[in-house]
Amino acid sequence: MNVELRNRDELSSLLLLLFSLFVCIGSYRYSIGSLHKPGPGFFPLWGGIILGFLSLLNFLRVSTKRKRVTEEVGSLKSKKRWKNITLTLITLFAYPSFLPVIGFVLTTFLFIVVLLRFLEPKRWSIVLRTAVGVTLISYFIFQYWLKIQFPKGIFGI
Amino acid sequence: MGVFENIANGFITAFQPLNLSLCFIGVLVGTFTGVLPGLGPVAAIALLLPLTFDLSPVTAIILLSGIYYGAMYGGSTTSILVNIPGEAASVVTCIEGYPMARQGRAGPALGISAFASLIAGTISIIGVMISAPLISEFALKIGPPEFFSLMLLGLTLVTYISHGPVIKALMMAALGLVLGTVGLDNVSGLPRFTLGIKYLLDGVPLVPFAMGLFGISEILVNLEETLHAEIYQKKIDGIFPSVKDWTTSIWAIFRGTVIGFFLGLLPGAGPVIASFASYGVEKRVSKYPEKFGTGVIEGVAGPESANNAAAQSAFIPLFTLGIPATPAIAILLGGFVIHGIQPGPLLISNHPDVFWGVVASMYIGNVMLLILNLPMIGLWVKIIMIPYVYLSPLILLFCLIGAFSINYSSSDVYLMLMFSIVGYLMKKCKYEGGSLILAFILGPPMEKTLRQSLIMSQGDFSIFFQSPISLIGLCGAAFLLITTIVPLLRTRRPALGVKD
Repeated sequence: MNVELRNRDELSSLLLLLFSLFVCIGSYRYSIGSLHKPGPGFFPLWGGIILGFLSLLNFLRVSTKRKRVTEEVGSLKSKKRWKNITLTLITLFAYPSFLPVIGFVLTTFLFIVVLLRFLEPKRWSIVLRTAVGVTLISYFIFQYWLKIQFPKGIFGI
Repeated sequence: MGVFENIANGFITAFQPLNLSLCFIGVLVGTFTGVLPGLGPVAAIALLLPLTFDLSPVTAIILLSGIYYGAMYGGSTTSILVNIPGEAASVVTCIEGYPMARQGRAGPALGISAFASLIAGTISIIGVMISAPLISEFALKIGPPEFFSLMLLGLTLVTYISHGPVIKALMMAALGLVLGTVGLDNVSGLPRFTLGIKYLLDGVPLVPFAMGLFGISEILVNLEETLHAEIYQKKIDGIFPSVKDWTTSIWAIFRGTVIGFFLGLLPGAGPVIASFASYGVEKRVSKYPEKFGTGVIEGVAGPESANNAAAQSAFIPLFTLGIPATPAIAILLGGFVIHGIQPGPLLISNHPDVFWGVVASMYIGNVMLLILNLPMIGLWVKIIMIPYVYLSPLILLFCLIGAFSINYSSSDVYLMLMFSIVGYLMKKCKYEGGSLILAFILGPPMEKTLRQSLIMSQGDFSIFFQSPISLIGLCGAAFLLITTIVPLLRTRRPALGVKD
């Protein structure tokens, strides 16, 4: 199924409208104050109202268009696309989780290996050589030269 | 102290070995980000910000400013060689630059682009030096209502000039204003929208937010397509333009400089609009307008001058009013604040070393860019040819390390990654990040000045209409908003009427 920009516009506008309702309700809890003395809720309330109004307007703008505008935005459903994005996000989220456990050197090495090997498969020799090179250069630049204190992890490196 | 003494002191500061070497690193990184599609100056400045925490404010700003105007130079290299603009302000250079490369004239195109940028940049910096102190003096006389109106006008202008439907850019601006309220309220001390999370008490931190929204999300989008850079002319000989090239281009350079300087002052306009405007002007005044599009050197010289002149003059509203003219300058504003310096009317008087040091380094940076860009063309060509699948893990790694190094905390990294997903979804749904980040940064000062104005006037909104500056600002913003929203309300009715 090809997801058109129009559907995404409608969905995103509704989500933002919902978010703006949450903001407006939250703002009331913080006390709007008065015009003489605006309270903490004053500015976010107006931000929320404007966001809500514009989201509603955008939703109506898009949903009342007579022609379906099929803009080339790229389907979100292509398999390769999902694979690359998911893999990259998992690897990205894994990095800060692994960092305190196995330390900077190993985490960086594994990070580069996974991305180089699985995003667009390369030979292991290239992958390993590049990963070692990048890890060493990063260690030198960030830990040695810029003196950033990375966690050492259970292996002490 | 006269201007000459001040600039002399500025040069003394700028020539200190550390400042000089960091200026070099800044323009190098800036050129690199300009050459690479996918990592603009916003992400690059946000990335290097954490690494500047141990530096003095003037050194940090020299480095970060270098990235900003370096990116303008770098962008034109890929426009000419590969017909892919490295960043938005270089789009126009593709129109004449790439045809020139196809005719074997990539060298003169690159050469005139570099020289034009140097001349325009130098003249523009003189303009900054002369006008910034004067504007600051004037700005000391204006109060919260005027500042609020000017910031509102600036924000509206940026959203008006964005790509795509203006309403979507306005939605992002409103979202940015709301996100800027997260954290402890300065006046009451009440935590707002922190959801009980201690990490958010200081607000959404700028650097991981910007890195996620602009840096990582851009890479995620680029991973979907294989960017195939087809370099037309791999061997570049003769980078120096001929005498004929110079005589043809020199007036284009001067016109571009003037156009760029004045447009750069306007929030929202900046280098992108300046380059388009200059191209339009050159075509109009040319004796052979029909040749435009086939490789006319004035079509490179003019826009390149305009975009670099605008890049320098965009610092004026930042230095004198504390109002950023573009998203990249907005991040620079964040950088100033992180280093304890509030840009605005008091910057020049309270921190003259910062102002004059940065201005002097802008001269030095422009010269360095000329030296870097011409002999190092071969290196930039090689970099353009590196497959993206190798570069992207490196950039991602750099983002992760950068975010972690802010507070040695994984929370910053996770926040960056969450906003990278938001940024990715925004890009897929064609929402602009520029207006979001500008509103996010302008939101807190706008709230502060709004509240101050209302307290001063005891709730009377007419305070915003009492001074000419405030009135002009508000009317300008209202005009832009009305011209956006009214057509939307009108076109809906015929559509509804015809629906079955």
